[in-house]
Amino acid sequence: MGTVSSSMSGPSPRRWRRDERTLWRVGPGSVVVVLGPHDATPRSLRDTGAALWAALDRPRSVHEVAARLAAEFDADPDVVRRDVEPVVAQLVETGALRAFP
Amino acid sequence: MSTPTEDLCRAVTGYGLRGASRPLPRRPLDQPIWDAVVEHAGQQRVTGHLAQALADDAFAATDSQRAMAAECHERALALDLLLERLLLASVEQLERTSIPVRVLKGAALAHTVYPVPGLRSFGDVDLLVPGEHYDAAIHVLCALGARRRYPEPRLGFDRRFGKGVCVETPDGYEIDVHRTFVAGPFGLAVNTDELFATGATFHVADRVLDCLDLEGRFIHACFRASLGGTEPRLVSLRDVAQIALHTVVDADAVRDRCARWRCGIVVQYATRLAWETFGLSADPELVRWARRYEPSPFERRALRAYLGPKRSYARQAVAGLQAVRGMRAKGAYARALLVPDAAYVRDRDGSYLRRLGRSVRLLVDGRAKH
Repeated sequence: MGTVSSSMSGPSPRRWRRDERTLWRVGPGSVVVVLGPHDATPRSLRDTGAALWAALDRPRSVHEVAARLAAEFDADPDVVRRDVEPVVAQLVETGALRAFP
Repeated sequence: MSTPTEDLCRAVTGYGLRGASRPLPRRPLDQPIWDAVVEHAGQQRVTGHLAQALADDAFAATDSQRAMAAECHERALALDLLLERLLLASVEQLERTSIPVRVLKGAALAHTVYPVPGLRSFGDVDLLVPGEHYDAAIHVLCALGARRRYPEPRLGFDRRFGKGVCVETPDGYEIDVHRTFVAGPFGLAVNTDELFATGATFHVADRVLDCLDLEGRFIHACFRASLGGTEPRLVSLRDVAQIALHTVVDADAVRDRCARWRCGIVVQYATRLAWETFGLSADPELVRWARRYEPSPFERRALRAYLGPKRSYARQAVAGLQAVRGMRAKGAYARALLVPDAAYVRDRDGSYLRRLGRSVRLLVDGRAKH
């Protein structure tokens, strides 16, 4: 989690994208089930989580993802960023996302 | 006679197929019927179609019913991913030892014939390995900690005549390692070399995996739908209809292969079942051909070993003798089944005496039919 947070405060925030080794499925009705390389069991991302996963098909910083989701769901970008950070941190921890410089 | 639950699940499984005519409920179902539908859809591995019909508002449901279906489908998707992880690990090990392998059924179909893989769930890993590499493949998988369910009747039987073996991983997942599509006469009539002469590929995560070509996938789907059990799983019937209606499967190539493998009756039976089950009106060339097909006496006899209340592995094994090519091979096949190794008899029958009794009953029964 620290990796994601500290990357936020620097001048060039770290960018993330899906790791190619990650297994995942999109289900009908805005759900994505993800199994990262270090995951013991798959996890479900629903609604905004599924949108977050969709946004990380290319390298993006947490700021960029939050801005995108805020626009999509008509929400406050700061609030969205606070919600997104821990999810991204968990996905990084399980290897589902990897960093781009 | 089918129950309302079964009828609803047929309609759900056919959802999205071109020309499917079974109606879906326009008003939410009573809870007990809904519960039964979700349970049945899970057993039949068609929760993806249920979730899709709900997401499209084609199937009326309450919010709590939608949540229940979503949860059930998420469990199915989670299992799919765990099985794909196992699939990748198994294929990697086999390829490392230069064993050719084709992915069959669930994962291969999910990634190649459905618009999104999440529509096609599965319950195990299915691999096809050439006979000459068969023993080595089982050895490789067992070295990873998997354990084969049953011993083979006699040393070398699996690689020459067997359908395949189920090995179980320490955490309870199953890998079906196939040599051919099915036990018995139809499996023995398939030219397994041909299954490796052509092929296709698909992606899972960052890996490229091999599967059968489209015509091979279609014929195998027909085997599953026709011969897989007394009551075929809805997912198997959907596979047949999905490929026939929504892919560019080559009807001529299927017909030629059916002639060589003596399995036209299997395609005929599977397409008929699928078309009846989903109330399909579309009439592609492949299905028109299957409807008109005239099965040979071999095919008619062979099909009887797989259908009806008395279907059993033993019945299929006895019927398989006709399909084994060459007198020496027939002798080896019969010897392995009549006098198998002690470990096999212990597992399957308990004792040689009990096995002998069962064999006599099968023979008497078989003669009475002719």
